[in-house]
Amino acid sequence: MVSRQAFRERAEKEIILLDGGMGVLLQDRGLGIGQAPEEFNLTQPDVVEGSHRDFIEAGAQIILTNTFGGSRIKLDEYGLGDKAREINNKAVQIARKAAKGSDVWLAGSIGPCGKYLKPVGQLDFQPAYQTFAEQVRYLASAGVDLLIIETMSDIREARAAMMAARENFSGPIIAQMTFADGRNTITGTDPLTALTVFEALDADAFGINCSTGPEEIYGAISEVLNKTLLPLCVEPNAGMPRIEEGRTCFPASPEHLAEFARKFAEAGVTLIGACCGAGPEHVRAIAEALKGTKPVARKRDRCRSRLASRDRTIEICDDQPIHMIGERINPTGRKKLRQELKEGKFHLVRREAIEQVKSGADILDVNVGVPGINEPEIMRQAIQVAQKAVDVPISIDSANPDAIEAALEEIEGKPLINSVTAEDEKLNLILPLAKRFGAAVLGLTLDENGIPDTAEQRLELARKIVNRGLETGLRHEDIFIDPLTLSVAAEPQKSAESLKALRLIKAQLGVPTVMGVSNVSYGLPNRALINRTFLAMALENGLDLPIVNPFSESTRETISAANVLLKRDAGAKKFIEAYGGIEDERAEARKDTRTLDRRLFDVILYGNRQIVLDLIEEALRDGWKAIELNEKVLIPALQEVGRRYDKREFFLPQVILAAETMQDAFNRLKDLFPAGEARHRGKIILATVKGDVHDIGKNIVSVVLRNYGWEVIDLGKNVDTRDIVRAAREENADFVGLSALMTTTMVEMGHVVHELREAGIATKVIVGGAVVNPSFAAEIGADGYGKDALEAVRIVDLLLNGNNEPA
Amino acid sequence: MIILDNLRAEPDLKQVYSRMGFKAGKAGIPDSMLALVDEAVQHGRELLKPTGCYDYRPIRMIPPHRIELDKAFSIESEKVFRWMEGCVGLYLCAVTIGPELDREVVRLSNSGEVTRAFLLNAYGAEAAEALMARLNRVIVNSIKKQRMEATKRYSPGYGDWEIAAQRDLLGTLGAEKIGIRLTEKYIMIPEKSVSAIIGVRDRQEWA
Repeated sequence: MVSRQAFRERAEKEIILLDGGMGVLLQDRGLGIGQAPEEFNLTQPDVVEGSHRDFIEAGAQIILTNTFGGSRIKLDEYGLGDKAREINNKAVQIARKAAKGSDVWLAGSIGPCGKYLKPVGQLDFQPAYQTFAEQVRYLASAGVDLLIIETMSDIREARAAMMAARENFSGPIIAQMTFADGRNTITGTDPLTALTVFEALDADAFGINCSTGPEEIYGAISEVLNKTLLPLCVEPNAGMPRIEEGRTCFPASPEHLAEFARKFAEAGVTLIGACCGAGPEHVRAIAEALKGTKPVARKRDRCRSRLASRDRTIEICDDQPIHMIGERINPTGRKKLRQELKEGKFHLVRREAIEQVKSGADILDVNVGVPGINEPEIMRQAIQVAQKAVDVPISIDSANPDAIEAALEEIEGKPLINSVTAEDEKLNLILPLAKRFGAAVLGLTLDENGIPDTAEQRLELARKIVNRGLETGLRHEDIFIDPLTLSVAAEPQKSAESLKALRLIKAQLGVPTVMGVSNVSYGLPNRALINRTFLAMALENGLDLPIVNPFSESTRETISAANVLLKRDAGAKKFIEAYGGIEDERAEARKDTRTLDRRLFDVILYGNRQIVLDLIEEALRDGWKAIELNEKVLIPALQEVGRRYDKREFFLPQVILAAETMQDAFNRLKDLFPAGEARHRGKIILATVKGDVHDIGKNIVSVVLRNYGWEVIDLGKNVDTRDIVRAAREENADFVGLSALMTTTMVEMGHVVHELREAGIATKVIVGGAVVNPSFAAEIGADGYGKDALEAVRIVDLLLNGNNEPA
Repeated sequence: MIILDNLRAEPDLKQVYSRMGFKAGKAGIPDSMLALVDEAVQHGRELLKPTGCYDYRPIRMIPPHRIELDKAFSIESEKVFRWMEGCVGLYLCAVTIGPELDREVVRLSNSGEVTRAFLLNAYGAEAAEALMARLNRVIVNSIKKQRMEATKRYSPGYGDWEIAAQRDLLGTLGAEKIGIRLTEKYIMIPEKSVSAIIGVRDRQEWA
């Protein structure tokens, strides 16, 4: 085994050549279609050894063992699972034999396990982790010099592999993902996000391999050149023939790869190899091209602190826009949420996640701390729901280390752990979790004695947390600090101290700062005014990540303005974009001289979302009551939409747009209806069934139904039958609407109907989706079949009024 | 297996408008929707990352309904058997427009922009079909050059050919090399992907 230090030094001082693609080589040498390359380690070791030798002779300085598909789960696909130890062992022995007499390094290759993790597939985190851990142990004990995790396309699987490797191997680990179209993996991750996650998990090098030729990989690696000082690795594919004007060209010939090898080296990449389709001649050409080339040192951007979701990375720095942490998913003082969590339901969690992100939250705080519940299990599910609904980084808000760990297993990306205090006991429990799972951690400046009075004392606690974090192996940029705010009414001194503490912490520790701003106004009137003023002050004193209610317009406005004033919005570009254009639409609207109700009617009919809210405000100012508006203008407009659709004058997109516009109007008006007048015709639960991920149709039905007065509970897609049944029971819904688009998933609809009847739940069921038809609906005992959204509405009406025949 | 990454996936806009729900082509799009439709088309174009791949396999036709490719893959289907009558081999093919468009559709949907999501989704669906049609033409040209004749294309899930055959088709073809995977319920990821087989038979016999 090579030490991590030695690897790091060598990869900085010289350009190291890796080998090419073993798979195609073995195919040329007798590997059958549908045969696992790893099988050759047992049946044709000489062929494998010969391939290694060919690459070494061509100039490879690191060779990868023939274990790419060598994890047990993957080998099981070929019935070779129980030979996992033997195969991995043999592979290393063969490689060592081939390398004898040279100073070539052996890299244990670890590829995907062949199954998708949830939510895309069905595999859980633990089994994935275990299968990789097993493979790593075999490779480690067989004596590889380093490990290379390659061709990962799912970030969660990559996390499992990286963690398994780090915990079972103390040598260097190169971690690579593959980017299907050169920009994102097939499940959505971009190169910066992949780098962010692997760096936090303590990889020794980051790389990109496979899927594409050198041009695309050059584009992808360029996104991270200045984001890290870790050595970078590339292994592009070769052999992708193209048909151009009837001629067959091979752009990724040895010469082509060699030319790009030089480009990669000039860009600062120091580990260069090739993947599928590249044989010894490609490696030889690369070796020739790189002869005598010295590595180029890269510079790293100032911005170091990053958080990531599956497909988005945010950078936290004083020249980046301020990012909001949305605080609404917190059961404190929220009765309905508390109740739902107690019952293991997540409708509010899902809705709050979506609405907060829609309102601009960049990070989502998730807190499910309700006394008496199984917090780890509820947290696990809450994280799953949140990640399915939105794609922003998560802040795991819990004091329970088991709940934090459950959340960390579910995370796709790099989260923030909210939080740890300066108490030794907490530090000892939580810092290692952050290190193990590659998370950033938020430290609160309080200890056994509570929150200190002075800023200097809070600075000392912050310093303690940072030092302990560094000792645990966390990186400086992954330790965030919150100097805490108290209510200014209750503790007037301490609020000013919070601002001072921010200043000191920024100046002396240089870590990202976090603070909640809602507490400061507790007990005072006009809380919004105090909050936004305090927020502005805190931002000026160095606050990077405010924890806020994203629905508060004054908060959003304060942050937009602060971004401009603190040089975080170059050229005030975003500010102008956000506040500029509205003037034009309004000018247009002022020219229209018809009566307001006529104008509003048309705005709904033609789906003009830009000005609907302005017209509503105008109507309210003119003295219209919300109820009147609804009954005299909005509902008639919607009915007109339906009429025109029936006459084939309007088409589906117009119906959807009108519905969305109506939704905007209704959201503004709903709090103004007299109590008890919230005119819900009934409650309907919508879901796309288990195993199916198509949901456009369902989303359209959801929007339209809401506008026809239905309370819609949308469970999302790929929903377990059990969850649908539970929701039907607990929500006392009038209807369940199911969607499926595949013949393979529509059977699930029958299960739902069956389970509902078995449980004695009389809720009516309507089904829809491209593969569904009236006879299928009748067959499974559904009460109705909806061809499209408007029909869905008509059927619910019909069935509610007693006509029980499926349409 | 041949991978083509320079295929064009631009769909016929009339088809796109139709898929969006408008009849009578562009004339049938109301003024209030023109901007949104154009935006969806423009946006969709930028998000396309089309790739395709194909491979040839000789086959054995075994009455009454079985087509054997190799020991891993055979097709049991009355309809396909009839479709491929007289064939000596099959081209397996698959295309995808990549995952970006779908991801944008989800993002729009979740941000309350269901209309935009719907329009963009319609564009993407037509683009995938157009891409497969293009690959189909490439393959047919190749077949003609060999003085053979091509059948029309056929996909798992049509007629009595079970959707589960996707696993064998995509696996044998090696479609994961262009980023296509299959969920346990046989949904292709990225969603806007299409797979098919095209039969090859002797021209003379069918003159």
